[in-house]
Amino acid sequence: MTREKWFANRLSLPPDSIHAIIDPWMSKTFYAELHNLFPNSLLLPDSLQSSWPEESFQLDHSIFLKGKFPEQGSVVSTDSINPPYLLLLHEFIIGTDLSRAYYFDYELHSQNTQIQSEVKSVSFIASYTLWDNQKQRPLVSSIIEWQEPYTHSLSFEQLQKNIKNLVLAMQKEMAAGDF
Amino acid sequence: MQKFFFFLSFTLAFNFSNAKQIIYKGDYTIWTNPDILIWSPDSNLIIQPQEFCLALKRLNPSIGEPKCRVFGEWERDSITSRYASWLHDNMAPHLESKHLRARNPIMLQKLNQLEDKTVLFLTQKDGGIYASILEEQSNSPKNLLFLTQYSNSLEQSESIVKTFFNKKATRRLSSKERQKKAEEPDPFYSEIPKHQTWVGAAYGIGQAKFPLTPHSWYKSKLNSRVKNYRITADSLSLWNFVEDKAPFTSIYFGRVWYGFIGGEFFYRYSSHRVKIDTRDTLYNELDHWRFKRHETGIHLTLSKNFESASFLRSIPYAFLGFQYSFFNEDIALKKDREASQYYKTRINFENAYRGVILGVGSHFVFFDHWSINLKGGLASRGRMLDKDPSASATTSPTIIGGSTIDGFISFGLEYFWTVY
Repeated sequence: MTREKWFANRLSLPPDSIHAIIDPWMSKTFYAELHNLFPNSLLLPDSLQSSWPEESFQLDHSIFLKGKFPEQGSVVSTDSINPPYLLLLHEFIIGTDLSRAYYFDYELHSQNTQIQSEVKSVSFIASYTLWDNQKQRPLVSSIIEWQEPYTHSLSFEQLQKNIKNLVLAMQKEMAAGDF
Repeated sequence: MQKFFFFLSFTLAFNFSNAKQIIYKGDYTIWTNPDILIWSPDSNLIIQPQEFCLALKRLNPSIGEPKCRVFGEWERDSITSRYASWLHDNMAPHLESKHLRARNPIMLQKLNQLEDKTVLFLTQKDGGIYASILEEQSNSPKNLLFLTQYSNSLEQSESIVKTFFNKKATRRLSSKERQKKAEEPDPFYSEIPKHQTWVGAAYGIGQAKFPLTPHSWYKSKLNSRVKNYRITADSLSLWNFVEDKAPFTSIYFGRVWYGFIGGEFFYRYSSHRVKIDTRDTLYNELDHWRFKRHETGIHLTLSKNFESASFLRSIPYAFLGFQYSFFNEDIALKKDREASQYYKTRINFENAYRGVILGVGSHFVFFDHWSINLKGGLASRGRMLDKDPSASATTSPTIIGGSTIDGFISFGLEYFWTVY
């Protein structure tokens, strides 16, 4: 989350501990929305990916996604489950008037943008990969963006609605993927 | 009919049994006396190393004495065996080299440490065999081949050799040569000289006719003779009056900044005889008549440095500039002869002509200092355009030599200084 103060004011949260409150809430909401769409999905613990090396993955000639991917040749599994596909969520950004190009396009990411006093929209950006766990290769990798026009107020319900929209857009992208 | 069907089915089966498909083929090297390491994730090996070596020696005589063995180190290593099983899972038709890239940094390091050994990866899949070559400085298999499986190991080896190892083998470098090559500076990062200065002297030949142009362009000028000390068919070019083909000598100095842009100042001298008709008795009084041409000018050069060899740098360049030409008359009568009226009213050239000089050339600098220069181009001389037109311009006589053009080539010796 960027601009903590702005969000803290709107959501009436203490600015010092906004991350402690909003981060678990965001991951919980995101997973809940995902689970609604894919009822068979399971949440794997973060500890699994602690040993994976961080890599950058080229999507376009100037767009790079940075994230952790499972090692080549080893199937990710826990004691009880051996999932066929993994959805790796690399980054999830909430902010105001953001564009994914400023984060992921190396030709544009060094541009300085002026923080406008007037917020036009709340932005949701997620970079993710759908991973074939059996063959250890990516099926769909994407950086998705959702802009919600900001009027006067912001609430957790609104945030949740937008996360839902983002997840729906992700589902649409993955369904269109050619694999 | 039955026979025909039998034949058809036989040829189909034969074709199928020979089926092989090159999925992609990159640039790889076949070494003489190679070390071939056979690497496979499969539990039973499809080809026997010795038989593969036999096939290599038989089908590619340039390969010398190959050594083939199973790459046990990589079959036991957990990182390489993971990559091997990943390759097995992911090898498929319609792939490109980048799809099979190794991602693990340790795996990449292992590939880089192969030096000049060749790894032959083999795996059974989809009712056939996928084969590919891995070598140093690659992050993915160099090529990928799908072929039908034979029961005979030798036959199988030959089918691989025929597709992958049919190139001419190159000599393997010794460890010292290899080290030297690794330490050799990359010419891509070589220093650009800050400036280069030279002085030189050149000898060349100039003539009106430019190579590969029709003679008819010059015919009237070259055939023209001077009658009665002043009369020619036309006076536009000086080549109507004097011999065009003459050797010249030149001295010059120049400087180039950052190996790219520079200039040169030059002086050239040549001597041109006047084209008189010797059969004309009028010229009996004349001992000699010629014009000494002095030319001086500056040209801009655009050049590029090439390190052609350790001792030789070639600097090709193109140049464009301007010059002033002065024609100095050198005339004398024979002893005890009176000058005729025609002699006294003979032709006069302009004091100075101005023109353009352009062309291409190259310096060849040996051992940083000694240079040979070759250049060729076109030079023109015309009337001074910066003169104010006189009030009686229409009645004033035509200027002699208003457009005099020649081509030239020259060979020069130079001394070079290079400052980095």
